[in-house]
Amino acid sequence: MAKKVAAIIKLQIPAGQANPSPPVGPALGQHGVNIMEFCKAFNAKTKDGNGIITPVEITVYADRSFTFITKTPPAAVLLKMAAGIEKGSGEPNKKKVGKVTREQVRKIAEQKMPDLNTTDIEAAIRTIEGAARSMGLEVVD
Amino acid sequence: MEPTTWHRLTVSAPPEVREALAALLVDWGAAGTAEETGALSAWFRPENRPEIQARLERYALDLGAPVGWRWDDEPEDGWRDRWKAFYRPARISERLGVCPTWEEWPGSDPGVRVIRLDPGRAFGTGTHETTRLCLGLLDRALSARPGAEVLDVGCGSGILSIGALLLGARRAVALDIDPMAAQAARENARRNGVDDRLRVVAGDLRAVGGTYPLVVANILYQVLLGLAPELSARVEPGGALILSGLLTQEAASAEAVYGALGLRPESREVEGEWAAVVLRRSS
Repeated sequence: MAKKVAAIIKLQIPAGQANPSPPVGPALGQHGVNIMEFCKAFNAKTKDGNGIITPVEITVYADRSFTFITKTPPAAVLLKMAAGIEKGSGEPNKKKVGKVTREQVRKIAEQKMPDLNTTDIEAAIRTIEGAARSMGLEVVD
Repeated sequence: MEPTTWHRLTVSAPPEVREALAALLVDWGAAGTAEETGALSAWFRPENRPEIQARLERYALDLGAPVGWRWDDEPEDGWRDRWKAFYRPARISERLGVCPTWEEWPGSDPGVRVIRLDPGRAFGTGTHETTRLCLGLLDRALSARPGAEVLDVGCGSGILSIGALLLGARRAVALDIDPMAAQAARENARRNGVDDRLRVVAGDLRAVGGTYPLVVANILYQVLLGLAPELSARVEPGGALILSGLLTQEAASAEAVYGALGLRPESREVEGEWAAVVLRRSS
């Protein structure tokens, strides 16, 4: 019989470096998950990730056991790499910090498709374009 | 000293803005973000809150998107130990059980020794696959060789050493580079009445000399690879090394590395996606 799910939590944390501080501690601790056991398992599985911010989706069951799966890198991280910038803009309309091409956006959308809850590539592209604009990147042809 | 209170920022925003915001919050100093039922959270030190607040206001104003947020105090005792409510007594191996200090052991089988444990913030409650694998292997090793001395590298809560001592190991040395773990191990040894036979060292392998008939290390693959020369040198002729914290696909590679250092793979146990291996130095 499938176990009853108590919570689903998505974290974005550096690969191989999980520790009991926030966000891991409070996000999982409040659901009764043994934090050190999650850290051990996550760090074992992401040890080759060079500390890159990695999305991980954790399913917590009623008995407080858990499973997790790591996901493709965050769209914002891929966009920063594509634009060659370190940080996004704190005022994305007023201060543009870089440019990405439609082709780059399409590639990121294709890469992120498995995690975007859509099978429609145009919808995925719109989401990634929205993310680009929300961080001060211009989308150009 | 680590502050005991964090400030939790919870943001609601459309999905594409959430993606951008998660990255921005990290740019602004958060160690990462959490998302649950569509709300994005990040934690900051109290002294950074005014600056983050001002940045967020500028961001929302400039973007013109529906971005809402709120701040909450997040005291550490609200989440650090919440898992304890779900930590229950459990039978671990043929002759071992583990029971939280705040619970009663439910069994009455006189053949079962019960480890009384409060892991504090150290790893090792007995519920993790790797801990169970190691305790099972220690149980067997100590049946075959009663009284053997044990070296426990990366001891965490001290559970493996204490289990070994309750199973008849004459003495044990437990090491951890984390002083908080060493402290938890000392306290747990006292609770179990084995503190006179357990030496706990806060430090690395260089802090102990000699060789041992039984060495156990439940850490992680990468760490075990780095420790291979020093760790294998602590196994006496005829002695055994138990390694865990390995994912199943890492076991063969660990055996090869330690094999090249004169330790022969003897057995391998698997639970879920985790493995433990036993290696032996020829006598």
